[in-house]
Amino acid sequence: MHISLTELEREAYRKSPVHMIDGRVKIIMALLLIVYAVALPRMDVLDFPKLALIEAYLAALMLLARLELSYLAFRFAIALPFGLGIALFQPFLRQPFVTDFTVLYTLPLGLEVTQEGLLFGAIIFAKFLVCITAIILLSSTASMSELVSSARRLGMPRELALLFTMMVRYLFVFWTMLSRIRTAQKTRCFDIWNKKVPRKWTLNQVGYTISSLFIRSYEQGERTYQSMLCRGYNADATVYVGKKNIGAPDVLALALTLSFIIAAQFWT
Amino acid sequence: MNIIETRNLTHVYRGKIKALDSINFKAKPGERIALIGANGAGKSTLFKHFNGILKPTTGEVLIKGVQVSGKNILEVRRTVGVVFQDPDDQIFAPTVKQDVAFGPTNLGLSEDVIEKRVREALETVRLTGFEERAPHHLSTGEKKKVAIAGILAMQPEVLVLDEPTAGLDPGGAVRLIRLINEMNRYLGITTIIATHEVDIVPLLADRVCIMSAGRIIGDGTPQEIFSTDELIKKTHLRLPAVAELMEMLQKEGVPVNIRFTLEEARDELLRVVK
Repeated sequence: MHISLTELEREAYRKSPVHMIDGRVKIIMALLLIVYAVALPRMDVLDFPKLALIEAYLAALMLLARLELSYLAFRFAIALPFGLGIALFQPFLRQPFVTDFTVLYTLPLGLEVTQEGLLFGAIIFAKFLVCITAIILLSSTASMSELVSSARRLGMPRELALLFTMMVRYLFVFWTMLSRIRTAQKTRCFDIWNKKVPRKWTLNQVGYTISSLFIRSYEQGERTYQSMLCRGYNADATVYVGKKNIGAPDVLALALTLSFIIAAQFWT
Repeated sequence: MNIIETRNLTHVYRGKIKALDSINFKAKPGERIALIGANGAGKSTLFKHFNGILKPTTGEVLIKGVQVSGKNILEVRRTVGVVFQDPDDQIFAPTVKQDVAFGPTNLGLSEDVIEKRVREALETVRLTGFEERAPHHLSTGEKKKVAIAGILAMQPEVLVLDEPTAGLDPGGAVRLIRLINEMNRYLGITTIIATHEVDIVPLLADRVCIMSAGRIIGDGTPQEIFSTDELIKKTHLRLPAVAELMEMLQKEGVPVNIRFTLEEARDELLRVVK
């Protein structure tokens, strides 16, 4: 399945109770859940029910947000290998903070699977799963521009906010630019798997494409900067984010998240 | 045989936006056709089907009588060359020569043939001597010509040009119009231009297809199309300036017939004056 950059934000513009929650509250909710998951003890079997409860809460929010399943599967498929890659090695390693190891299996080449390593790997993976679920939920229920203005309202420095705003804006401009270049190249029969041309030549063309994007982004940067100056841009300029009030549903969402964290900590 | 034919071609973007609605379009070899319509009428979507960049949601596209498919896509793209509106989309190589050689190289031609094709293509667009120039140092008119040379080097049988005169100065526009007509007359290339610049239409086309909301709502000579007031109004276009003047004179009681190009209008006015 293929999701392009322009479609990446598609889910963020749906309408649902979760989408309606204020961006600031959503950022805080995601941060709370992530910090809680990460701060759990690193070698405790009791982490699993706690993480499971948090994961179930996030899954319920995803259902409530009516996100498309194939889209979610795609986002998870991109992120999961990173966590899996780290977790899968753990059973074979001797974690420095563990003193006694119970060897479960001995494999050739001196490899040993230990019970402690297995537990540690599983906990890492569970924590990772909860973290990326929180991030995916946040990024599929709030558009990039909403996230930036919410972060600004939460007190992110204005220079950073301006950088992010422009990054979000021009990421899409350059994506469009690249797509148009690629369409024009297809028109002239370019295909990176084309066997009629030498491999090196193909690589050269890809290089040219990237370098011409660099030249264009440099020129675009100059033009944008000059037009910003024309509209009075100076070192003290800030991004206008407007005012937005926190409503009762937002407070409720935050309270619900907190109560789930408390429930996970004390009742499981 | 039709060099391009579409049968009930419909295209729906992302399952929602109907950009083309049952288009039945035919082009014969050697024709000069203009697709006109306001922004968003579906011109670009239509010609992206002519070389298989877009796939029909329903209906079919036939090039030289053969349906476009994964198997013949290279041949289709060689046959139908598309020149995009912004030459910067097309030109990406560090030198003009490398850029013009890009298409022929993809076709797997030998080095001698590529050299020859690049030389001929640059001659046709009158850019001999520009081989080693860097594209970002060229003017818009020159870039446009490099973009056309890049397609010509693939020896297409149909040349589709999206808004060919957009961004050109008047002199550049006149030269480009002459170049397009020469390619049609001397190289026998079928030319299809997509535009909303009505003034250039009578100069570049013998046949006009007028598009609105994804449909072709009129097909005929420039005279026939521009004489149908309601068609023009419906599509948010206007008459070519020359024709508009003739129409104003008619309303003032001057016994002139409506003409569409400067030369025709001059002859008509001379006839009335004498």
